[in-house]
Amino acid sequence: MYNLVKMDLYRLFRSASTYVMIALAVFVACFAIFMTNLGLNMMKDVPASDIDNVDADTAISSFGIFVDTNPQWIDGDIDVSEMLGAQLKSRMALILVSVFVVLFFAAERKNGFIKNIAGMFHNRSIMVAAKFFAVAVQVFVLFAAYAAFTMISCLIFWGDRLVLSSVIELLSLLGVQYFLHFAFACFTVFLCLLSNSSALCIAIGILLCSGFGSLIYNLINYVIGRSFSVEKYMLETTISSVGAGVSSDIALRAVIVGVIFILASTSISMLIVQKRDIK
Amino acid sequence: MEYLLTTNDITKQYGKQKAVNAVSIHVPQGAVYGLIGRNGAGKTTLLKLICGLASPTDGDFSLFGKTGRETSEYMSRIGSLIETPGVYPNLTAAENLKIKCLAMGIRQKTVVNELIEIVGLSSAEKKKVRNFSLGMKQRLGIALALVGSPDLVILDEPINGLDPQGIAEIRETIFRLNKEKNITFIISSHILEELSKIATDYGIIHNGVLLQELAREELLSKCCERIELKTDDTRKACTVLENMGITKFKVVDTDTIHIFERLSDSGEITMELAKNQVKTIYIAVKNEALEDYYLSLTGGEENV
Repeated sequence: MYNLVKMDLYRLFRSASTYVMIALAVFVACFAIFMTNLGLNMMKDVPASDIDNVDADTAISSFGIFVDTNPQWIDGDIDVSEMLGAQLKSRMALILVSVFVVLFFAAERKNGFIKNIAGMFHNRSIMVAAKFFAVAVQVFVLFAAYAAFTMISCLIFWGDRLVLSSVIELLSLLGVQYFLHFAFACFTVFLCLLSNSSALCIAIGILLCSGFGSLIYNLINYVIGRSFSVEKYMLETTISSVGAGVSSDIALRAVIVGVIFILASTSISMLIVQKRDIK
Repeated sequence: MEYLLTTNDITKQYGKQKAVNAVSIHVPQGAVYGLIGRNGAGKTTLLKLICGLASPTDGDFSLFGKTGRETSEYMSRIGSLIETPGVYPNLTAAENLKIKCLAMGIRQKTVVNELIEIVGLSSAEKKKVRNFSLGMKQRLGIALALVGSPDLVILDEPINGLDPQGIAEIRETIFRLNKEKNITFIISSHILEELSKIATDYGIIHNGVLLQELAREELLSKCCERIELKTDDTRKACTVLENMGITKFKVVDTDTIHIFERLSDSGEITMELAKNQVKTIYIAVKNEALEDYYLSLTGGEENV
């Protein structure tokens, strides 16, 4: 398995898509902060009562990609953790994860390279385990680029107003969010294996990131009963609920959801690869 | 005889269709085993089963005398090129080879360059694979199959889409590796004439069933490789042949004679005919008999 991990990492860093992914992560991070700054400047001219109404309207919407802004950011200090949390909750980085992880994972099946190596391993499931490790590195690279350039952009736009209230809070936010992004990557890899279609998998990933999953979740909630809320246990909705200073209950639930998704995706993917013939 | 690989009634079923039906092939050590069959005969499926890319529905195979789970440790001794070469188009040939080396835990840095040299891709070392011609990709596919110095190399239709020069180069490479490194090859093809130039053993597969398995000598004796001779005077030519001591010949039509012995003496025959004022219009050693034999086994020309 060690050899397979080395192989996947070699390919990851030789692949042009990795560098496109990093460039896009940097661009999206900078663009999101630019747009947030634009929004904050516009909010300066809006009366405080109207800002509350705008927030209420935004809260109702469960579709699309948007960054929640704190009205205190208009004139007051901006906490790095809070801003980074808001950006990660918007699921923009998650869209990049869902696209580039699928591209990386599906490449060897699309071009047939897998035929060169799959026969050597009686236990083909180790190929999946190695791939998940490489995907963890890929998500880490993307996540690091996104987080770093979000903070650099914050520094450029609001340098004098930028504060870091707690390093631990920032690190725990990054840790939990990275874990959830990786879990989502595992889930997309599983979908990719199951469907044998990278296009379908990317489409599902983007739709989930855009909030279209709530249509299905509402239906499930309706069928099960009002007291149940399935979105609490889904990855993309959990990602949107974990910001800076989140309660330990929510953080713990998020980690449990992540662990369950990683274990389920990994084990089922291993089973699929072991049982299914290589085409 | 020592067999490197044998399949034991191996079967692969997709739904109700048996793509490979109880096939038992025997590949001797050091052989170039030609798997003959038309498109859809089950060649690729059989090769995938041997490579471990697909699991058999029934039956199994023995590799180096080991069967079942015991074969798993020898699977890395098999190199394969199934259907089209599986390569990363945005990487170079060397990078593609390096990836497989890493997967196999090969650390010698010279391996990649050696393989590139063996398949004759040294001039395109730094070129991205997406800019390769079909022949170059095919050669890279063979190089990938050779990573780790395998004892058995499986090539599925390796000359498909190649020009005559490319075909000759691939044939030469296979021949050289078989002789110099004693690598056993299984080569599938539906181009019988090409396969007959290199194979030492044959398996003929049709509709998923192995119709016959035979060595080159057996096939040649069955096929009756012959000299095809066309002259301006068939009657006189027959007399000349008889005077030369050639008795195994057959007059096929008014100007064509098939000679079944002394196949390497076509020059001598031509000279003798000329001495006796018989004009040779055409003379050649013909291999189509393999095709005729194949057709007779598979049930007619409509199958090709």
